[in-house]
Order: sequence, then structure tokens, then C-alpha cells
Amino acid sequence: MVRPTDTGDPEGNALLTRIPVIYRPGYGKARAHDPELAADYMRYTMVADPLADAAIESVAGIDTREVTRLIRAGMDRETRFLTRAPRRFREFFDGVEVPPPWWDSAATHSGRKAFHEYSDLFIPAFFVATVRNAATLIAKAFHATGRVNSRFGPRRIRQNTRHFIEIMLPGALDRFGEGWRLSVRIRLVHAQIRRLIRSGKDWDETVYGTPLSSAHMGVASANFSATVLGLAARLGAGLDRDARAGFMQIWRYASWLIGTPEELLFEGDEARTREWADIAHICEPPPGEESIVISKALFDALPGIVGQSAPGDVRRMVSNAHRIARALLGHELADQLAIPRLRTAGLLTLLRSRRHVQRMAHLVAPNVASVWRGASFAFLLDAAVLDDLSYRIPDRLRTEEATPW
Amino acid sequence: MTMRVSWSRPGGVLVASITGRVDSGNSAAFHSALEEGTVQGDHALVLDCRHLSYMSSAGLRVLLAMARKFRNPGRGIGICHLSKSILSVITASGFDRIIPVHETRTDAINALSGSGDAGAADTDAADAGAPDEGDTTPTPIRSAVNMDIVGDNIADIAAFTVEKYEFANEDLPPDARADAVKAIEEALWREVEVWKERRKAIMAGMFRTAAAALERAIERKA
Repeated sequence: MVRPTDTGDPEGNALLTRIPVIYRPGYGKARAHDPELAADYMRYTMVADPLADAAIESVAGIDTREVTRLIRAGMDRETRFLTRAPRRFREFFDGVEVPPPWWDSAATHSGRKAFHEYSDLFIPAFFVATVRNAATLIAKAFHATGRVNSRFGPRRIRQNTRHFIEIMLPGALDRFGEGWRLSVRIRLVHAQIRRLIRSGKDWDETVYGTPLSSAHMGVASANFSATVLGLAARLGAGLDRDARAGFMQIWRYASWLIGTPEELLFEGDEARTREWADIAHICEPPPGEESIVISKALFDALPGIVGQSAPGDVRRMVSNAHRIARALLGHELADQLAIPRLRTAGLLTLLRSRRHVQRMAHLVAPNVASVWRGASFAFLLDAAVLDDLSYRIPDRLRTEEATPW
Repeated sequence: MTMRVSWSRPGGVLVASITGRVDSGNSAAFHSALEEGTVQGDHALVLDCRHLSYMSSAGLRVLLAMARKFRNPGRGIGICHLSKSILSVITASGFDRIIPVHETRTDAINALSGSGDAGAADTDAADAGAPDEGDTTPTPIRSAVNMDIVGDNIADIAAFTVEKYEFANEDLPPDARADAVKAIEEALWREVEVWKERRKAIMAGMFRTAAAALERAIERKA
């Protein structure tokens, strides 16, 4: 166990004695970079989602099918049916009904357009950001559900991809839009997983902090927004200021719906959000066994999602994904996640050059270039295919023991 | 969430008019409606999105499936009247290379029927009025009837008839309502087909009258 060390910062030292034990070494390091951000991160490792938690707690004793029906009623704003719901459940939907005053759908247009223009780069960037998220202690909570393994991994990637694609479509984050629904659903599922973890004996909050804490929601939001923008640019996406700002605003609102506290959204400021993500990763303990398992499941799920089954193709694809992820994440984190050591020298330059050639081709032969993009978009739609939008939430922590959800 | 697909066949090109919202909750029904509305012999399909208010990725996947179905040689698909925001995404993503986008229904029909600027209804009329065997140049006859408007009128009549019924009785369940609208529209389109046949006969008669008048004029000169 790490003892608090005196750094001459009384407030920070006081916090050090209260934060979850596992974070102490990381917090010590992060304070040297940005004491304020590091302290913020630590505070949020002990915060859950009061609104969603209260809603889920209020329906804990109700039959699962009825809960599903109530969630659907909330999503569809079936006022008459919702009157049957407990007060705190209704309050949750009241709380997400009206968007915050800063949300301006029209201002996101450039971000949305840029995503579609560079979807072939955004999706690998999003995948790598997902792997980066898995390096945090959030992996421990997801691992507890058993939902991110070789069996359930593909479904999870499809769910993530679907959410990402959905929120990038026009009208998706309007009330009743699919992006809105998926975001709110994610929040309720997280609240239920948190409740189930807390009702067991395996999670000691004095050691690990709150399961699926606000800090983790914040770091995931930051990775899916600012980090993705950075990664997509490193892969060759040429994004102007409007596009970046629009993309950040989309994620700002989606993250707000998912339950990330407003203070951790930094008004959609890309630079500040990236700093927060970097500090967060310093605060986090080094990736453990759960992170390695989840990271491996994510890579292993890729070939199935793109419909490759020939052993040679599968090997090649996973190997390429490992190389790109290693190049983007850096050797230190890649090693910690047990991503195979492969040569990455010149890889990003090569990918950017290829993209440059495609951009040139677009100038010379725009039709050919848009055929590439069209194929890429069609692929995305196929990759995100799922049977339906279910409003079921897990009734058991372990996915294999739970009623399918 | 409500979604409705109504059908018309202006100029012989099948047009599906999509009304409402398409999302994962009704995308299966949307797919079935499009599948059921198209038959083996249909070589072209126009998706008119004038009354489409929202489409999620589930809806786009259905469009992709239909595009794949109509991708074979000799077949074609087009989409028209997209809202500005959807259009921007469709073009940025290159989806317009999978489903060609047209500004208006007439543009889409013209593109798919290969009739250039003549207009789909014009193609109809030209076919109807083909005067003599061996004459390979279609006579450019202007249409007296805009089938686009006929299609809209039929959709309106169907909707009005059902609403009138619901006013006097009680609201129909959504499925029954959709079936009723479809049945009315099909009945009206059958009537239009009969009427088009009559129009063809009239046009052919006019060409015969014209030919006879010409003959008489030449005889008189002689």
C-alpha cells in the first residue's frame, strides 16, 4: 500500500488520504503535472450518477419486463404510462428531457460532415480510443459483467460503433432521436451495473473508488471526443476549426446525456479536454489483468465484425490493428495492454501519405474518391448492425447469468 | 413512432413516398414495406423523402439493402427531396454513389427512365402515341397530365378517406390504417391505369386522325 507523501501541498495531501487506495501512486505523479486537474479527477472517482442511480434504485424491486416497459415509456414520453413509475424514475426522465442551454444542434453540422467525410479514419481512431479507455479501471467494472470477452466482445463493439455512428447523423440527438435514446440507455445500464456491483462483495470502494465513476465517464467522453480528433488527424484526417468544434459539441451533449458531470465537459474545449484525458491516464493505476483481457477481446472481435473468417485474413487484420494501435497509443501503454510488439516505424506517415493520395485523387477524380467513401460508409452501417434497440437492462451482473439484454 | 410508405407509378417508374420517422423501432416494417411494394419486374425505384422527418442508421441500412437489390444491370434506384442536413451527410459520406440523389421526383424519374429532360410523363405519352411501325423517333408530345401530381393527389385522397372514416367511427390501429391507405391507393392507381389506357387509345386515335387529315390534304393538292 502506498503511503501519502508530503509534497508541500496541504490540500492535495489531505485529498491523498481520502482517495481510493489504488489511485494514490498515480495521483502523486499527476499532481506534478497539473494539481488542479488531478485533484478534480480524484474527487470524481468517488462520485456516481445520483439522478440515474436514484431512478434505477426506485425500480429495483419491480419485475424486469415492467422496468423495460417503463424505460420505453420514458424514452417515448408516454406520459400516461409513466405515471405508474416511481417518482425518482420520472425525475430522471424529467432531468434529461430538456437539453442544456448551450446545446445548439445547428452548430454541430461541420463536425458531423467531417465525420462522414473521414469515417474510414474516425472509426479506427474510435477503436483505439476504446482500447485506451480499457486501460483505466473502468475495465474492472466491465470485466465484472463478463460482457467484454471473446463471446460478447463483438456485440459490445457493434454497440459502441452504433452509438458513435448514430450521434453523427442529423437529428439523432434531438428528443426521440436514436442517438438520444442510445445515450440515455447507456446511462441507465451503467447505473444498473453499478447497483449490481455494489450489491456484491467483490468491489471495495475504498480501494477502487466508485464503480463506473463520474471520473470514468469523463475520461471516456474525453477519449471519444478530443482523443479521437487527435488520433484521426494523426491518421490523416484534415479537419478545420469548425469541424473540430462541431465534433466536440456533439460529444459534449452525448456525454451530458450519458451522465458525465457538466464540469468535466470543459464547455467542449478540445485542448482542455485532451489535458484532462492525459491527466486522467496518469492518475489511473497501470492496466491490470482485466484491461488486458478486454483489450484482447476488442482486437479479436474485429475480423468477425468486418466479416473476415479466412485464417490468413483474420491474422493479417488483427496484426494490422495491433500495429496501428501501438503506433497511436505508444509503446508504453501498448506493452501494458500486452498488444504484440510489432514494427510501427513509418506506419503513420505511410497512412497519412495514402490519405494524401486519396485527397489528391478527390481533386482529380471526385467521383472515384466518393465511391471509396461510399463503400466505407456502407461498411460502417454493416459493422454497426444490431437486431434492435433494446431497453432491457441487466438483471444479473454476469452477462452469462443474466436474461439477454 | 409513425412511418408510412405510399406507392405510385408515374411514368411507369415505381415511387415510394416515405412519410414520418424511420428508426430501429420501425426499420423492419420499413424494410418489409419496401420489399413488398417492389415486384420482380420492377427495374427502377425512386425513394421520395419529401415527408421524411428523421432517419437513423437502421433506416439507412434498409436503403443500403434496397440499393444492393437494385444494383444489378438494367435496374436502378434513386432518392429525392432529401432535407439539407441529410443531404449533406449523404454526400459527405459518399452514400450518394450507392444511391444517386436527385433534387426532385421528376429528376429522379427522368434519370431512371432514361428519358432525359423530356419528363417521365412525357415518356408515357410518347409511348402511347407511337404512330407508325418503323418510325424510330418518338414524337415529343407534351403531357397533359402530371403523374407526379396525380401521385400526390392519390396519397391525399387516401389519407383523407381514412381520416373521414376515423372521424365518423373510431381511430384505426396503426397497422389497419396503413393497410387501408395502401388498399385505397392501389385501387386508385388501378383506376389511373385504366384511364391511362384510355388516354393511350385517344392519343393513338389522334395520330390516326392526323395521318388521315394529312393524306386528305395531300390528295386535295394532287
